[in-house]
Amino acid sequence: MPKFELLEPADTREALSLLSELGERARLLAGGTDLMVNLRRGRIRPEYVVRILSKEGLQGFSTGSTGLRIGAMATIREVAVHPAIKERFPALARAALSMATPQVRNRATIGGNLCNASPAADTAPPLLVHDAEVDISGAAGSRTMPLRDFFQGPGAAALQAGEILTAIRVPDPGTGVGAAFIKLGVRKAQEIAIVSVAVLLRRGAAGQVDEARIALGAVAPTPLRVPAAEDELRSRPFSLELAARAAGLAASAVEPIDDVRATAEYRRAMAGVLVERALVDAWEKAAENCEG
Amino acid sequence: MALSIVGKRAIRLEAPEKVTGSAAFVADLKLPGLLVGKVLRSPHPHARILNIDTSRARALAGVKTVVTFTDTPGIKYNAAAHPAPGSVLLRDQYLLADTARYVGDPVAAVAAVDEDTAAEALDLIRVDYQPLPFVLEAEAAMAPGAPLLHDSGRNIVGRVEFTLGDVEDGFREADHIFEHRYRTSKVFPCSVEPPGVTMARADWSGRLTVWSSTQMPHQIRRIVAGALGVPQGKVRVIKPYVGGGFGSRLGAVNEPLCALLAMRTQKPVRLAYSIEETFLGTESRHPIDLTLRTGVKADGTLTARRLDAILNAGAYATHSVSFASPVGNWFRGMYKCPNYRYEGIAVYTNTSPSGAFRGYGNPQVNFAVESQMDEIAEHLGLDPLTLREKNHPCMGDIWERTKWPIESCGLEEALSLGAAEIGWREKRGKSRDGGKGRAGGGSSSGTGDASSTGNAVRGGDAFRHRGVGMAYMLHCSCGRPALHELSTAMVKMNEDGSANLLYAGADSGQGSLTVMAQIVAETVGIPLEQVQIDPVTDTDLTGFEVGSHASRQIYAGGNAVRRAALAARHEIVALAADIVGAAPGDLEIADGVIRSTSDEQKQVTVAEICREALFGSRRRQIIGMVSEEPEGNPPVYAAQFAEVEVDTRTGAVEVLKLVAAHDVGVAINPANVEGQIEGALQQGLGYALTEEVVHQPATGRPGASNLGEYKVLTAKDMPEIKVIIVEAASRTGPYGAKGVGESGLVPTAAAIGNAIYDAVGVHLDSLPFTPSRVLAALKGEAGAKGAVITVKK
Amino acid sequence: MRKIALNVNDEEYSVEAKPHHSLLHVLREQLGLTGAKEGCGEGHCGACTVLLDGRPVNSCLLLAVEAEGARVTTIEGLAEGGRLHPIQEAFINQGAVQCGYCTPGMILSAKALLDEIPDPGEKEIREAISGNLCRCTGYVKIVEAIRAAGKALAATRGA
Repeated sequence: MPKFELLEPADTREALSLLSELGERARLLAGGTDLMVNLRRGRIRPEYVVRILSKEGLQGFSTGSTGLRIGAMATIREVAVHPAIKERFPALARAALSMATPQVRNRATIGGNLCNASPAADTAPPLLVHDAEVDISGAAGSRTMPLRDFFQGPGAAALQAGEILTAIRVPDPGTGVGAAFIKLGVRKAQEIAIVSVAVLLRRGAAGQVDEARIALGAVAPTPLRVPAAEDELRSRPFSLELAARAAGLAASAVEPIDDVRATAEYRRAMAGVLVERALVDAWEKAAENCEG
Repeated sequence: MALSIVGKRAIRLEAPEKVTGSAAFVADLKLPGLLVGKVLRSPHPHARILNIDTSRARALAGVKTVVTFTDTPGIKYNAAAHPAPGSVLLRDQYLLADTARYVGDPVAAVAAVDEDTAAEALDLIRVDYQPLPFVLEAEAAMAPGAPLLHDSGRNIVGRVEFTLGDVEDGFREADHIFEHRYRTSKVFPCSVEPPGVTMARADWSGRLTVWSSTQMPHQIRRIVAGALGVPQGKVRVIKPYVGGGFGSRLGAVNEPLCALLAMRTQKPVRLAYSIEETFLGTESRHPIDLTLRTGVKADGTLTARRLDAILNAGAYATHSVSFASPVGNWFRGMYKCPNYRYEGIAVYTNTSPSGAFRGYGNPQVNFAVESQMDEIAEHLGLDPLTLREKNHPCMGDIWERTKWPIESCGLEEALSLGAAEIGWREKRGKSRDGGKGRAGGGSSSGTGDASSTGNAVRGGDAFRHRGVGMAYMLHCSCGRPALHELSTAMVKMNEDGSANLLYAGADSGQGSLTVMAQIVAETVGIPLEQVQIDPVTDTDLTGFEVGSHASRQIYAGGNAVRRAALAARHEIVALAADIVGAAPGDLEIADGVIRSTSDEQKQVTVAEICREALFGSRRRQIIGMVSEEPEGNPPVYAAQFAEVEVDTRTGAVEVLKLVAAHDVGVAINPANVEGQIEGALQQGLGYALTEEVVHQPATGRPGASNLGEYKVLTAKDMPEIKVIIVEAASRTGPYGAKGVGESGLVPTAAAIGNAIYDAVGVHLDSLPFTPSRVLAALKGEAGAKGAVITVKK
Repeated sequence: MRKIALNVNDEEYSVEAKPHHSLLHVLREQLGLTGAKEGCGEGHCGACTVLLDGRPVNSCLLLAVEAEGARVTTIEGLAEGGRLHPIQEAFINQGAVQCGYCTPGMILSAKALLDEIPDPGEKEIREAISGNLCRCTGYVKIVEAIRAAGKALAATRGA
């Protein structure tokens, strides 16, 4: 493990001033499950690692009338088991539960999962279909931006040097909504997605699709939404044929690459298959939520 | 007398030490002043090393030594452990590379006061490389003009041919000839304790002590002595607890290099490879390209068999000089056929060396042969079970692998029990009947647990098809007659009637230690609790033992242990006969008491006899000692069955159930036997579905170098498993035992492949069966299937 | 160097550790608690699993300083008063131990599960140990042992 100097600011405010001063020379420690591996493999060599002693404001969940706020340092396990998330954002809970191992989920944070900006980040697709926003703080102040704009490329999040992600805000989905998450891997645990898909559908009284959102992971430089496929669905009566058509549009919208996990061609094909399946699943869940 | 200890599910002797974390593995050992070693590895697949500047590393405070090629003894060695009788292994490797021949080839090593300093020292070493052209695939490496790895003028490491009869005649007699080409993948044993963890100390009296996590302590002593040019008698190897072997420790990993660092510093050094180094530089199973041509009569009788195998040896010979032999032996031993021809060629490439991994060539051969047999059965309209029943060698037949008569065969029973357990008659062939498919339940899939609700897609179930498949295998109980199989055991009777077994058996987790204790207790006639055997093996304190390879521990080691125990028993009985006034043949021992079978009054305890021997009339300790090879090498049989569900849209294969029916001779400890097979199935399933390292064409780097990308199956991935033990006792094994260690994974891949065929009608010719390969095969894409079937008539 | 106060198996330790060292490193090299093993060092194999306030974590991915203020439980802390924990007993009796390298971490993951769900189903057991790789057993007897331990613990509680 390469050496670094450990800095331990008392709180977020102190941390921000340190981070803005040190810039690229420092890394913020959250759960550490990626940071430690990257340090060990020599992929990053920061001079400083910053560990915030008081994580006040960075942890925990708060629910309000408009939705849910998740502290960026909430662990993946907490996200996976939180009653409000399981009830109102089940696709997110499922995505969190699909990640890594129980041990890693006990340490890894949702903020870390997003800030690493991996195209395959498990929590990204469900948060994207929920139109999540992220709170970002820097020495100069705070801002909020849509998660959609947060991912800029593989490993590149929209954080300026010295900025940190403090919270994720997920608006309440309302009634008549169904969401689904499907992750394709070759094992049932410890998998980085070959393709992952999240879908959110709102079912109208007449059986039409009132709202449709589709997000995919591991098929482009960033996790992404596929507007063309969503538009195809909106205001139309749901059918398997419609789902297949939208899935085809989703598959044409992705820009996958070849890597050791899969070929681009396979990923594109699976993007379509998974979107189709997730649409049907989400539609059924939406029906349950209408009735219930 | 009925057996009282053999056949029992004895609790492992060392388990309490393991569940408490007390069992000490090499990395848990400490010596005062222990240094930490680290290795610098080549980033190039092939490069001339122009210069290595170690000056800055040497100058770093805390660095005790830095070594490169010029600091090695300059002796070429071979890391593999078991030369065949009379043969000399090809020595083509220095302790540190003179030329880098694969990504990961060790080019320098350091020893420093701690890990941080050692890592920093590596960073300070500057190596000037001149990259050279490289070749990663065996077939390409054989072609004229291919980059040469060594000075031998060609990349051929070894070539082996076996023939019987005349294959051309056999093919002429055949009604059908089938020809297929199969490819197997590069997979790693992946013991949870990574291979390559050693501690060494060179003391001031000239002795070298090596603490090695090994399967073969005595062989390590010889290899270390040879590689360093020190007298063998000066080297002592101690094997503490070992965290799984599976072949990864079948020879030296880094013992000689660690010993070199210890000799250079005259201080104890620990050298422990990381998981990245496991994939960069430790040995894997050989990837093999197998072209298989088989002639059959319309009734399924085999008339000719031909296998041409090209083995990717990697950059150094290690096992590969002779590895083509076992490959051919597995092939010719599998089926009765009057005509066969085998040619195997092992080829150097710029990849990490291939070596031993559980099964030693058989998993590769079995995948090819048993996949093809499934196609032959289908083509001839025969039940796959019938084709095996018709052609497998049986008791009394000559086993072509050894050329000896087969001692026992439990295959028929294994086939019938296994078939019943999987529901063969109800399920096989049903998927393809009428083209409808036997639709799956849709309750789960290979697409990750997270997707389980996603899979409940209405209409989606039509894309899930179930099938069953099977494969059979023959494996060995040791390496005879090709390999030395010497074991030495000493049973020392103490004055309280207990026994110490001194035996250098290398239990790397399989539980052979406990079985040896059972053998001693049963043979001598004392309770199991009265047998002690140290899990730590020490070459100074035990006689020569080949080690743990070729599923030999119980058959070959157990034979020596039983015979040593018998020798002790004879002495006990002889003395007891004198004491109680009975004929030796009249005495029985059970539970530590010697009784006359004709006169109940005549009895004496083993403890009393041992005391009498030591302190009474004899004044000598009762010790039974034997150093010998076992007499035979009985084949072990198994039939495995798999039920799978294939998602035809994603290509994902979910294995629902595995049934493994194994003839193990006699199961001395059935719980251990089950444990061996259950564990092997996890490796076999990984071989079939998920595990693979592909060296990247552009860089020569392995495509997986951690356990995220190299997909060892988790508890969530394992299907329902049913192990069926069949006991066809061998004549020559201790209490009728045969081997079991490796066999559990040998037929698994073919069984799964054949189940996939049953489910969706395509045979796959390359391992592993990844979703994309399955999907490509389903689409009938070019390259997905290399089969050529020639129908003569 | 930084002074670190650790509570391990209910013992208080004060160690001078390098701040970049992992909890695993400090446990093994400084406290002499070698029951936690290094397998991969990257959070995949789980051989280094310890409990942090009762929850399993990879001690290789945790800076030692991060364990300050928490209760750390290692395999050495399970047996009490010279008696093995029921999970340890079950692992022995069910034949769930082969090479033993994954065993300490596996047992700690099992303990965290059984402390949370006393009578888990097979699916829950397999989920709970999905971060502990075993290459010897195929997990068959490990799953059986955890189930048996759950029943044994339930019997103890009921008594």
